[in-house]
Amino acid sequence: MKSAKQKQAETGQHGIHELRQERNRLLSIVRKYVQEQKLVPPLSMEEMMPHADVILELSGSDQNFRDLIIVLVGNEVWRDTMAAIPFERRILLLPKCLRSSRECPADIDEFGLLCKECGRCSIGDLQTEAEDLGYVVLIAEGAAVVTKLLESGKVDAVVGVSCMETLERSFPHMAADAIPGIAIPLFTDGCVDTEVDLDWVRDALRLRSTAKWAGRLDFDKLQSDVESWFGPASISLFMNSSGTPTEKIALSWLGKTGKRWRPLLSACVFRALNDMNPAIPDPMKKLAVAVECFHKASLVHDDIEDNDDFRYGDMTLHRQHGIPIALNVGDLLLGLGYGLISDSGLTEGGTLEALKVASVGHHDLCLGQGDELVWMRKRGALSLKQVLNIFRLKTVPAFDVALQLGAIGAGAGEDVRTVLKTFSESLGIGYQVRDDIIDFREMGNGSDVNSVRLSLLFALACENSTDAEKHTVVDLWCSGSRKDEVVDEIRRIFTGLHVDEKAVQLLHHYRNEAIRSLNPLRNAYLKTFLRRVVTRILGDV
Amino acid sequence: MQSSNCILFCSCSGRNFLSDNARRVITAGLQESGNKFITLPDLCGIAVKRKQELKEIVERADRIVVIACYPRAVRWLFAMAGMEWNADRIHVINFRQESAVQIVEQVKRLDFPGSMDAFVEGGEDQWDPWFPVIDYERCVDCRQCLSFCLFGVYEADKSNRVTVKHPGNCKNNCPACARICPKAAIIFPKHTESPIEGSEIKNEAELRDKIQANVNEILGSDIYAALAERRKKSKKLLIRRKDIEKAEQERSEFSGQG
Repeated sequence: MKSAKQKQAETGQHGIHELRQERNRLLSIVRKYVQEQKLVPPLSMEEMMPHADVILELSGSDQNFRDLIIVLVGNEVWRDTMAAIPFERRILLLPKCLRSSRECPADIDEFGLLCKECGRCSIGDLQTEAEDLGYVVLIAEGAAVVTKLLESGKVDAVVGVSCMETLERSFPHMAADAIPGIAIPLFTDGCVDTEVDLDWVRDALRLRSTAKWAGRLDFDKLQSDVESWFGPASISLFMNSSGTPTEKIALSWLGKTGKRWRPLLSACVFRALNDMNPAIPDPMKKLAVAVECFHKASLVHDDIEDNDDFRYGDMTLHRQHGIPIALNVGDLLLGLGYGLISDSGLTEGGTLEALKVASVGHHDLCLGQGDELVWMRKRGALSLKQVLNIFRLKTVPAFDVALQLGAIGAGAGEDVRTVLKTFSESLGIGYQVRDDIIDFREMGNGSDVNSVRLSLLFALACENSTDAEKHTVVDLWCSGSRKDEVVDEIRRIFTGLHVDEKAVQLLHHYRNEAIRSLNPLRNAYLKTFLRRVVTRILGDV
Repeated sequence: MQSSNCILFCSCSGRNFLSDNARRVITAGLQESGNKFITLPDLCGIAVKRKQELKEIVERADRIVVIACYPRAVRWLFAMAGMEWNADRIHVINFRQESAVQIVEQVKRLDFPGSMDAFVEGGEDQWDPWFPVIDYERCVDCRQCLSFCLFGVYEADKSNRVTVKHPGNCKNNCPACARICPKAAIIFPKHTESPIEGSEIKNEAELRDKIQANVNEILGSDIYAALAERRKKSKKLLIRRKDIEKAEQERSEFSGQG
């Protein structure tokens, strides 16, 4: 990629007037194209590129305008969404370099410039105009502040002015949280005394339609909503308990606060497919609670199988009540889950679909867990294929069932369901890959001193070692000891085999696949939500 | 090599920490004392642009007394110029805390025989030497400054330690990186606030409170409200400043009317 300076040198001959004309010409081509193609936000950079190439071809423009076209496509894709967002929920980001470098009297704090509106540059006027409309304005000190802002998950929309280089660097952060935005590149760059097309900024600032803004999903808020469904009063609305000790244990276990992200996923998919209507009808709530029942049941059984003593900072169920009771409560929760689905009040077809999804997930989960348990008993070398297959069976259903039940609740068609299936697969495997990476990096830091885990990194080490090394790898990993000297030795060998890097590459692969799987979606709410899920589950750029 | 004791006097020509009168009193006192002294136009600038010459003077001497600003600032400025610090050899008199008279008294007690030595001025350009100095006793190499600074002042060196690689890129009077530093390890010798100017940090707890107003935390709450609040505060200040300007203008207008 060319540096901004080079590009500036190349386009410098055009002059600002010609540049503006060319930009306007390109803008009308892009606008028409985006409408005709019905492009749905958010677009990943990968999705954007081929469109930019086609438009470049269509326009007959110079290759130098490719970056500008990408910016314009990004803007146009978000245009309708942006127009619906109230001014008060938008942030205007201006670059500090617009100021007069010699005469600017402004103070600077942690965030950036505190403009004194002296009139020597365009910042003061733009700020006043934007604030009069209702914007919050930040003249950012550096990329770090902007990055933190965008990563916070609390920004609804951005109008951002910056040099092309910074726009390129900010894009991944905007994309990671699928933040609607309009980007405006500077005319001149070079970090001092820069200039911007004020009319363009003003047009962007004032963009407003009468469309109703559905709001962005606030995960924290939704989480507490979902949590409320599990309170004692609420749960009795969904389930008939005759108050036996077994039911009491089961309901109290279900009420234990976890992250609740499975029912959260179901609820979010439902809302996204339902024009973001915040009301969740009872049938959908029942499906979401069912998802949590399956999850909590699997935890009870997992803890027994893994002989774990603690969960949620408390004793595990079988430590509290003994294995037989715990086993039975787990079974009860499974039954309750299926009961909730069959009594949910969905259409007959919907109920049947939901039961099918849940039972397939249940079945796969047991097979995956089974493979892992069998390996735990025999312990030996593992191939990458084996491990990925276990992840596919064991972890993917958790995501798939949650997302699919949300879609079924909303009456979604086969197209959406297929996307969710592919998406869950990459997301689920990616999640487990990330978990294993974190686990490996924290190995030896206390807790699991004597535990053997099936791990992707172990499989990578097996695959990448010579026969002689492989013996050592298997012996060390499967010995179960995680004393300092064993951990050091495992780390030394794994580092030599570049296991960590390979695992990170795999994580990137599955993250990209998850993002890519969303391309066919036509519903912007759903696409936006799932893109944000990728960042939350698989990490940032 | 000839070894000699020497006084270095930074006259901090770019700022007003020393009044012209104080400069005169100190210079006269130095001359009267019969000690060997060298007047530097600006220690910050010389530590960057002419560090080799500075180093030779300092290394030739057995004992050095530096009349400049806060000892912590001087110490790390010397380190930046590639000099080792030895508290037995180098003593700092802080003109930002001691009066010219007090300084002269101390100077007269010294016995550093020799004549005045001019530090030949030259190579000066328009640059006003304003840049950060890292206190490596405090720095934990978290790199927030490196990612925060837009102008590429900081860089990691070969051993991966953050350094002030391009002091000339720093924006005049901008102390923003020092404010975000979680360890208060960044000094701007010419700043006015404590501890950014290099004053000793006595109360770490108090310091933590100060730094708590950092970006992360402010952004943690409602971002829109936080940014709006920040703006409101700065607007208030702005109005007050405009009022004062206006008042001063009116006073001068009215004072002429007799």
